[in-house]
Amino acid sequence: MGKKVLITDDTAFMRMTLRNVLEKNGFEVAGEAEDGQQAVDKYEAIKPDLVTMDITMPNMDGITAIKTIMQRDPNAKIVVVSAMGQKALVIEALNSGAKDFIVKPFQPDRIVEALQKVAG
Amino acid sequence: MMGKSEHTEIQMVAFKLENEEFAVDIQQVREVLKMTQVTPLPQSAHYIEGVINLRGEVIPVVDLRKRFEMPLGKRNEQTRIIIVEIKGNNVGLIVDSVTEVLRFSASAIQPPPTRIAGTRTDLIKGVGKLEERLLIILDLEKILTTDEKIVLDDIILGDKVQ
Amino acid sequence: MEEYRDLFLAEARDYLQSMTDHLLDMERDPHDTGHLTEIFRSAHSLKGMAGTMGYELISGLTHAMETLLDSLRSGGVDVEREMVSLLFEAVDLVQIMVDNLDNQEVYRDDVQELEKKLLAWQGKGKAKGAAASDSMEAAPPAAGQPGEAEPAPALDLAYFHETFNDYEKEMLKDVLDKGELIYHIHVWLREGSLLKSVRAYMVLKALEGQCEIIKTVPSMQELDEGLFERDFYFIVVGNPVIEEIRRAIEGIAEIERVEIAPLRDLVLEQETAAVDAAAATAAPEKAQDRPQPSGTEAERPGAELPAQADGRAEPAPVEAKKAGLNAQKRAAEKTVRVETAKLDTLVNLVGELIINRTRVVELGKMAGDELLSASLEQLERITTDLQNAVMTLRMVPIKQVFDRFPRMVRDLSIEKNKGVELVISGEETELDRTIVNQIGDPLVHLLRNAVDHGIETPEERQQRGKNPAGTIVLEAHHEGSHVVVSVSDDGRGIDPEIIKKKALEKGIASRDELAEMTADELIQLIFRSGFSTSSVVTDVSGRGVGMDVVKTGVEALNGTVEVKSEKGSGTHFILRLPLTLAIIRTLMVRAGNEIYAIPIEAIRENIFVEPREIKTINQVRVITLREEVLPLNSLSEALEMGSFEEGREVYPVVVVKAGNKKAGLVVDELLGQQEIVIKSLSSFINEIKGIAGATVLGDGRVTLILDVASLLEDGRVSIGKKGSYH
Repeated sequence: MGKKVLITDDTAFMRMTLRNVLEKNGFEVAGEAEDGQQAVDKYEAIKPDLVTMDITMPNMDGITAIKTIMQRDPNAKIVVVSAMGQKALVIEALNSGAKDFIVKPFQPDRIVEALQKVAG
Repeated sequence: MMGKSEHTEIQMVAFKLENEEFAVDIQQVREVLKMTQVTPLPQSAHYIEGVINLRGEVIPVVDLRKRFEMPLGKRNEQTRIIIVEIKGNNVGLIVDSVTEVLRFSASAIQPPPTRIAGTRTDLIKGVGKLEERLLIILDLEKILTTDEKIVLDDIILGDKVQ
Repeated sequence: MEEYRDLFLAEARDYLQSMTDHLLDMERDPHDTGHLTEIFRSAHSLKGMAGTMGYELISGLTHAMETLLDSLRSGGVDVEREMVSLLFEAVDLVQIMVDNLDNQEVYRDDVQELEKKLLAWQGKGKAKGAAASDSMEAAPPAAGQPGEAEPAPALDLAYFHETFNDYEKEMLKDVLDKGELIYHIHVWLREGSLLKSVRAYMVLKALEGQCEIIKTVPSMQELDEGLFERDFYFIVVGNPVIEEIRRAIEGIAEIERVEIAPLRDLVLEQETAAVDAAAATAAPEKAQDRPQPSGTEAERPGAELPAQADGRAEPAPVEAKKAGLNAQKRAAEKTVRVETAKLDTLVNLVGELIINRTRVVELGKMAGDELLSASLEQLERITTDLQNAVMTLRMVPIKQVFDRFPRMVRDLSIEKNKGVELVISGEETELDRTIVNQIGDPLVHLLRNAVDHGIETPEERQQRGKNPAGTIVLEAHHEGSHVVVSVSDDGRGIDPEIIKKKALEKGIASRDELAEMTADELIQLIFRSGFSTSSVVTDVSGRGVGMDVVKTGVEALNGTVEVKSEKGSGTHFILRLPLTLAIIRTLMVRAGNEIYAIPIEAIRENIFVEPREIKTINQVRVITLREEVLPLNSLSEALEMGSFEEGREVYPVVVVKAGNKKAGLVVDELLGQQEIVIKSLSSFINEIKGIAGATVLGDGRVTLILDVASLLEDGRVSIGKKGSYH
């Protein structure tokens, strides 16, 4: 069985794109979150192997979500999927515990590679 | 302080000496203490009350009444020491009371009036108008780093401005 | 950049000091070429470092020095005093620019002028030296060692010279000496990667904790701005586990390829080449500076071998020298540079701890609980050890000050046409950094005086049957909780009779007083203010310029100074300095409503005086203590905080002494001894006579610390405030 992934993004389009790419490449999409708060809650519930995390989202942003999740589960494996030009935020996300990042718009193989590398 | 745009708000700590109201830019204020024990310093200017211990740092304290050659007031529950930073040094100012923190829009602060006889407008940064109240914004750096004698009448405006 | 700058400053100063030392040695012994090699090495390193930092004036000037030094090495120019002075001038100018890095531009004209002078001197011997240096220039610069592992294809000497400047090359050598390894880590990103700077950042992070990155290509800033195509490389040092590094980097998304190659052999290879070139007195800057065009046959190790044999003139002594240098470096590596502000905070905190301990221990005693007392005793021991340990952190060798004196004495003795040998010993003696920083001026005074007035002219010395060259001995050693520094000369000494005459003229003492003084007491008069003016100096066979300044300076450090002298055979100044300044032992006294701390150093004894013992002479209250007449005043009065309180049954008196002044201070109560941390009064307050600083007591109150020297100095204690007499 493929690794369980929780997708976090506030746009339905991006969530759908990610789901398609991941499912085609042998991952199991175990859940979708529309903001940071949902990601935190669903992480608790689903206990996914991997998380993709958008940065700018309503309610709770991705960085806060990363910090919260890392605090509860230091072994969490989170990959940031950020928009272009968010260098400072990406670095902050990495320093907060995110394992890697990928920039939107992404080539499908890149996100797959990133998740595979992080999953180890 | 005066250079900000019209819409900027400036916060001021307002304090009293006798019946006069003064204000100092909150950026310059480190903290406000209740009156505490002051160790007198020999042979220093008459208005230097002495030194106090502020968390291990030895800080000089100036009695503003004495600085302005005013009669000494009674120290009471209202007496405060305002710790201000002047040229990188912390200095305490003993005042009768600290009334409040006021917000002025930049437009409510006027430069010191220049044509008033007998007033040392060079010691004043500006005048803050708040409804009926007039608060004198002192140039603490000038007042505390000169040895000249300054009397209260030099700096208050009384009825001289409207 | 700031970090590099500090490193540059520290190392530049070391190199400048080394140049000064070896210039002095070279002048003394022109035949020992070892000094020349060292000076050259320092100038060369400095040039490289300055170049790296973009300090064009410093690198230009050091280059000119190097050029002159080079003709010295090739024998084109002889060592002459005038030339050494010129080199000193250059050292000074570099020093000034190093001290004023932000304003180097100001010195451009000076630099240019000096460069001209240096090159003009070099030109004198050019014809002679040209042949030698030309022939050497042809020698290939590098030499390889056979049988070594092949470096990665791209990593050859050409790469090496292109990648590293001289400064970095030096650093790499040090790294190897330390037993650490050097790696070249090359990383390629996948095509079309976005936020490349963050990728680079992730690679950097992956290396964190594994090894130290000493260089990146492109520069850190360019990496940070993403200004690179697809690849970048790092030079790292340490002892990392290569496979772990590889895995960590390959585990990052969008990394296409990683190559890791050791650089050890390459560094050794180029080092041998450089040292050999230097040994053969070729022009080594040619060997090290110029990036070699890549791919020419001459750089391949094999091709170099025959040339290497030619170039290697005297390998043995150079190797020995190298070993010595490496040993020195290893010693230095055991140390860590710490910001002094951090140290001060630590010292302060420990000080506060000690104060509070004192208080806790007192409370414990009152409680009378045995178990508590036992653990308090333990606490007392540990905190004392802690205090001592922390204090040693602030200790630095007095060498830092002594180092500048050989040069100063040399210049002075030339100026005065005197032969003077300065003998220094005990320069490794350690004392508090603050004291080391402040003891320089008094010592300069004493040494100047010794050269200027103590040591006689060579003719005069010969007439007296002395060695025409005088000797000045500067010595330091520990003595209990003090450091004793002495300056002795074998000059003409001080004539008590002349002192007596001058003291009378200057109104320092009356004829009667002088008549009663011993020769030794008379000599101490030179420390009196007003005794030494320049007109006095020449008259009293020399001693006196600013001797009161010396005394004041030493006393400001809670130290003492005394002088011993014998007419005709020399003078001996002895400075006694405390090991540390931050914490002092004091006697706490009450005067009026205030408590003051008096440094124990300044206290001779505490006595109780009855009113009938107090006499008045010339409007001054005095007491007679063991046949000595002491002026007496109340502390409150001396500080202008009150007046002498008449009519008490008994007066507690603290007998204080500073220099040769002694007096009794009447206080209201003696409160006991205490260790206190000295805090400076705010710079907002003008200096107050009689007050050295303040301290915060265990209960949070601020207490002032007396400055006994200044209290006694202007006669406050003996005369008291005008008009305060009844």
